[in-house]
Amino acid sequence: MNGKGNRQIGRRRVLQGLAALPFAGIARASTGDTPLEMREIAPGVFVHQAPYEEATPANRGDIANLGFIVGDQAAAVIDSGGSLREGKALLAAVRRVTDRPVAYVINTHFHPDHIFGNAAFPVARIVGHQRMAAALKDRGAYYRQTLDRDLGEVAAGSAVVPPDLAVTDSLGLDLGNRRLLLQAWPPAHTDCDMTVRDERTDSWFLGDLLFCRRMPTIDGSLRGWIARLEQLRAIPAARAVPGHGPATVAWPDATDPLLRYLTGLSDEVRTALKNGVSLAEATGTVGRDLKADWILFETVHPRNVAVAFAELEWE
Amino acid sequence: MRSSKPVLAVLTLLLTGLTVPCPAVAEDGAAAEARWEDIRSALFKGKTLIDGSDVLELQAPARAVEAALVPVGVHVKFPQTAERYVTSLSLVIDENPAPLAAVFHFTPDSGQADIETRLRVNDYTYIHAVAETNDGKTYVVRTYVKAAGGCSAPMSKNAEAEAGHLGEMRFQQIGAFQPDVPNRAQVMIRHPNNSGMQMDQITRLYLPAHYVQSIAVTLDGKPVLAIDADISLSEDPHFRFFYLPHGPATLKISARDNLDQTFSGSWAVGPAGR
Repeated sequence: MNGKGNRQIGRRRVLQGLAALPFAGIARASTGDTPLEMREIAPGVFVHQAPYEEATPANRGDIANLGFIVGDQAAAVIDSGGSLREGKALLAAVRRVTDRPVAYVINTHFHPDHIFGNAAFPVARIVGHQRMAAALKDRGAYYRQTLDRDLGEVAAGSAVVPPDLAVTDSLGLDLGNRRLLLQAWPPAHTDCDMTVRDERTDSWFLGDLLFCRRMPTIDGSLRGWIARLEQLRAIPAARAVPGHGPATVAWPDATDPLLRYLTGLSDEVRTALKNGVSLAEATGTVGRDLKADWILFETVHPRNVAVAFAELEWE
Repeated sequence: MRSSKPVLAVLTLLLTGLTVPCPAVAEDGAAAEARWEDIRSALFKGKTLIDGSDVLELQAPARAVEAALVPVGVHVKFPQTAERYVTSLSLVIDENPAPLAAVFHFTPDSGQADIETRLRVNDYTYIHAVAETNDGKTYVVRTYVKAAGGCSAPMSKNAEAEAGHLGEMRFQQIGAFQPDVPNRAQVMIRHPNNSGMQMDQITRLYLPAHYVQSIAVTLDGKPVLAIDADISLSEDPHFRFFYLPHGPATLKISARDNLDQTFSGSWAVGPAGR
C-alpha cells in the first residue's frame, strides 16, 4: 500500500478502507505458527510479555512487549516483534481471538525488536511517527545486517517495512466502536517515539518510553526523555503497558525507577564533564550506583553513559 | 609543519580498493596479519617499524560499548623536547574501510605528544599507532578492539537538533593552567562527520560523505598540533592534546572539511583560566 504521508483519517474513511481489505482470517489454518503467548490485560486488549533478554536465535528476537486490540470491525497490532517468525506467531495469536482483519500495525518506534514482524502483516497499514520512515532509511540496512548476526537463520524473511501512515502530532484510529489515540512525541528514547491509548479501557501503551526491570537504552535524547516522562506522568491512565517489563503496570508509579535512573545518569555525567573526566574513564566509572535491580545493567549501562556524555557535553 | 593531506587521500583510496573488508577477516589471525602487511607497505613504505612498547602506550577498550564512539588514546613515554620529539603519530584501524583514521603532527611546542580521540570502528580489528620521531625512527604498537558497525550505523543523535550548529567549537582546559609545563586541553567540533557509508535503504545510494579533513592548533601563531583526519573520526570530532605555554597566550584552532567549509575559534589561555 502506498501511504501519502501524514493524514488524519476519520472513522468513515477507516471503515471504507476496511471494506476493501481481504480478510486475513482465511489464512488461519495455513499459517501453522505457534501462537505467541498473550494476556488479556483489559477487555479486548492483549499483551505479550517478552523475556528480559537480548535477541538470540532461541528467542527469535522476542525481547519487546507486543500487543493487539480488537474492535468491532478490525484489530490493531502494537509493535510486531523482532523477526518475521515472531510477527507470524503474533498474527497466529490474533487469529486465536478474532477473525477480524488486522487493519493497522502501529510501531511505537523504529527499533528492530519492535518492527521486524511488520512483514507478517502484508495487508495492514503500518503506522509510525512522522520521522520514522526517514530513520529507517538511515538505519534499516544496518539493522537487517545485525539481525542476521544476532538471529542467524531465524532472521530469514525478516524485512524492513517502513510506515505508510505517518503520525505528526496525534491521530485517532477507529477499529469499529473502539478508538485508539496515537500520539507522536519529540526525541526521548528515540526521535520517533509514539504512544497508543485504547480509549475504551483507558489502557496506555507507552512503547519504549517506559522500561520496567529491563535496563533502558538511550537512542534519542536523555534530556528529552526526562522531560517527556515528567509530562506524561501528569496524564492519568487506568493502566500502562511498557515496551519492556511486565505486561501491565500501575501508572504513573511504574515510571519511578526509570526516572531515578535517567536523572541520576544525567546528574552524574554532568558532574564528570565538569571535572574533566574523559569518555574512556566515564564509561567504566559513572553511574555505577544506579544499578538498583535493573536487569542487563552491565550490558547496557556503559553505552548509555557514552551516549549521555556525547549529548550533555554540548550543553 | 607539513601537511600530508593529498597523500592521505590517495592512500585511503588505494587501501579501500585493496582488500574488501569482510566480517570474518578479523577473526582469522593470518588474514589480519596480511591486512596489516598491506597497510604497512602502503603507508610506511621503506621504513623499519620498531616495536614501540617502550615508548608508546595505546589505550582502547577491548570491547567497544558504542562502535560509533570508541575512545582511543596514545601516550608517549617521553616529553617533547627540541632534542627528541615525536613528529607524527598515525592511528590505523586495520579493518575499517578507510584504515588511516588520522595523522597527528607535533612540534616541541606540543609539550607532550599524547592524543585522545573518538573513532568509528566497523569490525573486530587491530588498531595500530605508529609514531615517527625527529631522529628518523618509526615505532609501532597495536591493540585489538571488538566492535561492529561503527562506520555504517548512524549515530543516535537527532539530526534536526544538530542542524544549525555545524562547525561550532568548544575548548576546555583540563586541569589548572601552568606555564612552562605541558597543559592538557580538549577541543570538540560540531560536525556530522558522515562516513559516506550509511546506505539509503530505498535508493540503495550512500549518503554523501561530509567530514572534517584538517585541523590546526596554534599558540600565539606557533604550530602546536596539526591533524589530517578521515571518516573514521566519530561525529562531533573530539580531541585531547597538550600544549606548552610560557605564559598567557592565544590558542587558535582552525578546521576545514571535505566540502571546503572552514571553521575556527580562538581562546585566551592563562592563569585565570580561559
